[in-house]
Amino acid sequence: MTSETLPASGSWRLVAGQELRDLWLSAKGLSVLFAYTLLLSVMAYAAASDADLNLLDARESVGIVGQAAIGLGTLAALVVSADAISGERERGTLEMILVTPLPRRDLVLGKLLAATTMWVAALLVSLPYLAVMADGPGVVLDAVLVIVVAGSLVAAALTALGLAVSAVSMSNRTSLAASVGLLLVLAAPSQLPSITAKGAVGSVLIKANPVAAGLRLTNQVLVKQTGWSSEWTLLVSPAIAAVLLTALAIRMSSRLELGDSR
Amino acid sequence: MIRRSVRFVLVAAAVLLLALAQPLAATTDGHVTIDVTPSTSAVEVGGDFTLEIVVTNTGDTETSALAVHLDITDPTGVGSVDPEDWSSTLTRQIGTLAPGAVRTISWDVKPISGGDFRAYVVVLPEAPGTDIWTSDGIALVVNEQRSINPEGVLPVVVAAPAVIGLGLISRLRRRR
Repeated sequence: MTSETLPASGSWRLVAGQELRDLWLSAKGLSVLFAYTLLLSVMAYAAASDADLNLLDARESVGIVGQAAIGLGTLAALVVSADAISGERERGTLEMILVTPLPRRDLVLGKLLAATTMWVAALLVSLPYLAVMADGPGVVLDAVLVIVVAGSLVAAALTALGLAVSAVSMSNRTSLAASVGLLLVLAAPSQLPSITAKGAVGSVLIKANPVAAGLRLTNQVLVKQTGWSSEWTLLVSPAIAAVLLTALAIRMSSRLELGDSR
Repeated sequence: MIRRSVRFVLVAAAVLLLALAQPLAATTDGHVTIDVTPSTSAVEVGGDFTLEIVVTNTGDTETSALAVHLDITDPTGVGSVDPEDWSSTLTRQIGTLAPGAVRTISWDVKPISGGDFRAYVVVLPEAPGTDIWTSDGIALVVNEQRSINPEGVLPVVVAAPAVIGLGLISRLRRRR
């Protein structure tokens, strides 16, 4: 973010606007989005053409692409948010921002909103993939709903988490490594074998974990066709995590320090 | 002496008839026919095809509750085939059939491996018994030809990164 004169009230809009320009008018946002579409293309083509995956049930392929879209889209938003504050600190621009009358809460809020647009872009890009793949088995509506509802909640939670990590990380490398590591740890339970996942401990592990719950919901609705009415509880932890982690990120804005990026 | 001989012959004949009658009663009485269409089919790996199975009771008595079982095999033994992977169910119950009654079943099959296979249908009673009726074999030729555009995804998987890549290149050029 470049320094400019910012009014004290409602300045989150200005921060968000500046961050959006930095993200989308530079190559940064498009680079991340390009990597996202490339990976999603490889996943979609592999899922659609792999005989072992596709022959038994085309819904399996839709489930894989849906989960990849949520996982990779969340990762893309996380990469942007994890850079938001630690990046400023590392580039030495955080000092200039902190000496302005800009409320720190507005700074974090503006950056959070800007980082969230990466998820929105990833979501929009993934829609044609899902529409094409879900058309055959007739689950287009479910596929779109899953990625919009579950994906957005998971992405909101993880974007806020990335920002909170970025706020306390002295270097960008630390922030990125910690954020991506957390994402991997949270996503791991969704890969549990179905027998383990059905057990009491496995079920709690998945339902309490926002990322695993979102990915499991995608699988249940798109592949197992179990329906939203029986799986809505999987949305609880992503929704709670989105609210709590956003509150945490904003709360941590009061503890923003210049630190030593070395 | 003659009378004893006649009695012996009669007893022996009765025993012989009983011995012959036992296996006869256990074999099929032939009052169910099975027609399967198409009799031959050429499909691609992953392609859906449907078998129409018509089970008819051509006898004078009602059958017991019947089950229809689909099996697929490679008679040459060159390839292995697991029919459970080809169809979500391999056995269906069709209940009893009154004389002259006809039951038609549509069976969706999706081959997952290429080769020359035979499919056949067996009708047998649900209750333990040895009555069993078998259809003619259906020749299935499954080609392993793959589409370069599976599920029609190719335009999207190429166009999406291309459009964003072009936008990225344009942005980078503008910055220079």
